[in-house]
Amino acid sequence: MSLPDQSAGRSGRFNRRRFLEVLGTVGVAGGIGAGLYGRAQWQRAALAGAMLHDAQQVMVPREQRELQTLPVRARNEIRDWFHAHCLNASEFAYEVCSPSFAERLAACGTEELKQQCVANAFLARVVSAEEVQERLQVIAQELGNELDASWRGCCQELSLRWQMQISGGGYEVSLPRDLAARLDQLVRHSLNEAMQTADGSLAPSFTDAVSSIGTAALLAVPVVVVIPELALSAFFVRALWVLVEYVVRLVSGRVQGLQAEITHRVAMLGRRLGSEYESELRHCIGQLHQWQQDAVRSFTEDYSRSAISII
Amino acid sequence: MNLHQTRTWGWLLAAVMCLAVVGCLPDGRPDKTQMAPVDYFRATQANTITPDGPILMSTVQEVAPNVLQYETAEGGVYQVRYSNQGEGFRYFDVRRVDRGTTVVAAPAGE
Repeated sequence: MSLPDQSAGRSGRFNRRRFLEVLGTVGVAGGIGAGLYGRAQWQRAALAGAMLHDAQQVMVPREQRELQTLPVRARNEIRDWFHAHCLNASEFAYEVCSPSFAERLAACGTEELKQQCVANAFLARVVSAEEVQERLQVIAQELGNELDASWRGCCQELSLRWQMQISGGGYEVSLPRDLAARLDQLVRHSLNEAMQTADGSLAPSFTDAVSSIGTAALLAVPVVVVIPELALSAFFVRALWVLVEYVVRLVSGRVQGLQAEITHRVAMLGRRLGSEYESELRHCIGQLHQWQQDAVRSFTEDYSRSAISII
Repeated sequence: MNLHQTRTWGWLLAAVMCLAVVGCLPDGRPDKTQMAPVDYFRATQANTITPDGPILMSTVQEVAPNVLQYETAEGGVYQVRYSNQGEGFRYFDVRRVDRGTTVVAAPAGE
């Protein structure tokens, strides 16, 4: 009678033992795996953190220098450039007060035609929106090239610092030969995303067409697009037309009064454009720095994942 | 009113009318062919206001062929190129020389 009970008990103890063995094995394996994973994560975080720390020592002073100097240079360049327009405004005053211009005005049949005649003379002689756009692009190109050169230098220094870091740790994966190109790719990706977010009509090909990332960042991001073909700040287009209308009203005045009034207004426009452009550039350059920081962080995380395996 | 008084009033009226006509005439542009570019600049730009304030006419000088230099009330020193345009000049390519910054050269298509 007891035989069936004994075998059942032995079988139950065997199953429990087996279960516990399996459980124990799985638990130990899981524990080892979790431990290895945790260790790898900790090492990766440490490596990425060390690389980021090195990067900050190189990038932060450069970023501060760029933010302090480049926008101010752009403002001064705009203001200096407007000197020529103020001088030409004086010549314009003589022209519109001359008898020959009076004859041209008299030949205009309607008041609107007369106003258009004066406005055309002003835009041709003094300053036009197209000239300003061209000048802003030239300045953006100049500053963009400087930003790119500075970034390349930064990447070279990062490459040296990181090489020392990873050599000391004996990691298997080496840094990419062209670290700058890899980081540029990440920055351009952020730039394209920002372009698509800001205005869906501006395709990523816009930034691809501009080879300099620095220039693309300065030209493309925060300038308010009023007339898409011109891409100028809203205030400038309004201010220019207000100035033209003001000049049209003043034309009947004497030359000296006209000169002082017009040149004063053109000078004010130049000062304000310089200040606005300075603040726009600060925003642009700050945004570019953020993208560069994100690119470096993303690279360090990717690198640490590939350099440190779980086992 | 006798003849003498009538004549006097007539002359006075004519003088007033002449002054009124002259006052209404547009200011004549100085003739650049009769003066040096520096003098023409001083004559035509005396009322000009720049982003750096008014120009100090006593500082205007020609420093190179077709290049004038001037100082402004705020202390800036600038050089500007000029070229002939009609009865006057066209000014372009302004550079500030005391700060050491230069504008990228973009001469006007003349």
